[in-house]
Amino acid sequence: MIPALVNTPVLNTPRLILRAPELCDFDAYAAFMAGPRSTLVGGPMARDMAWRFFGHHVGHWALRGYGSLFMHPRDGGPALGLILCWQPEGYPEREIGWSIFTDAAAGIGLATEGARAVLAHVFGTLKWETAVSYILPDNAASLRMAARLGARLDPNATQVVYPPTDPYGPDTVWRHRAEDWR
Amino acid sequence: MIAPTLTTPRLTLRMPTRADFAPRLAFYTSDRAVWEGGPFTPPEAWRIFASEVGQWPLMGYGPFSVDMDGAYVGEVGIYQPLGYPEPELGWFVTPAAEGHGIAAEGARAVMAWARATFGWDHLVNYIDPGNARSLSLALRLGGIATDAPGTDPTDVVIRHDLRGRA
Repeated sequence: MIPALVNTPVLNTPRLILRAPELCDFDAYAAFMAGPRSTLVGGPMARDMAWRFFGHHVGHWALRGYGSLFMHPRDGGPALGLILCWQPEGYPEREIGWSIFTDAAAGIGLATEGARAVLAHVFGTLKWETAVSYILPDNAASLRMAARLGARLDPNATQVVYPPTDPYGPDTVWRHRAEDWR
Repeated sequence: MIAPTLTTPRLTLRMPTRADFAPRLAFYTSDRAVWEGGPFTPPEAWRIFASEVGQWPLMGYGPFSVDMDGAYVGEVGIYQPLGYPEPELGWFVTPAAEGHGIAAEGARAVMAWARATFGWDHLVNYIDPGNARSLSLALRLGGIATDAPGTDPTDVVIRHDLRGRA
């Protein structure tokens, strides 16, 4: 028996299936975290550190009952990216975020397609009241995407406080509104 | 897949919850974590804790939170982040609960569970040679030092024979 998370949602979009992480997703994730596309999420990093980050996503599901969803092509194949849907300890609020694992899968709207499905899920099904996206001010592609998703800059939102040794922050905080997705 | 609940004369071993992070955070961000590669920042501590809880759905084994008289006193379990040659038996006891044999009692329960569930004939500990307290417990539990590879070249690897423990 291969263990798994249970009672996790599966979301379908025209091109994607989004589901909770499974062990078979680790290789695609580790390859992403080893490469230059991971610079905005803590990388590049070695495979053993990527295991901690991957395990964090899985453990988040077990600890909070919801979590990030990995995006797969409808016709099968390795994960193309993930939609973050989480609140790591220390985050003031729940965050929706996105990563695309390879250059080949970037720039064709997959993150937007996946994020729309997840936003509809958290506001429509899980009845969240709000969520934010924490985006570094020089991440032009993500800033554009947040705006495209209908999120608005929230200058009054509480920032994540990162340790001084971390290469993050301060972020711009984009607020997603439940009424846009119900 | 989540942890089963195991009971011993004094202890309940169960699936960790978010509330158990506070004592782990206190440990990982303190000098007590030096034998684990720390101290760590709070985000690192959360990532370690969550990734170990995440072992349950990924691998079918992981950490158990330990309660005594209804209160959290520590963690005992089987750890295997990437890079560990084998599943490791590990333990943690809160400062207030140290000195009462909690780690030993929990570790015996976990060894019996691992034998009964997976049929494994042994489990190892990877212990920093400076961590006298853990080394002493590992030997008291009947473990024997071996030349097997550790997670780090300086690790002392202690092997526990599980045959006859189920």
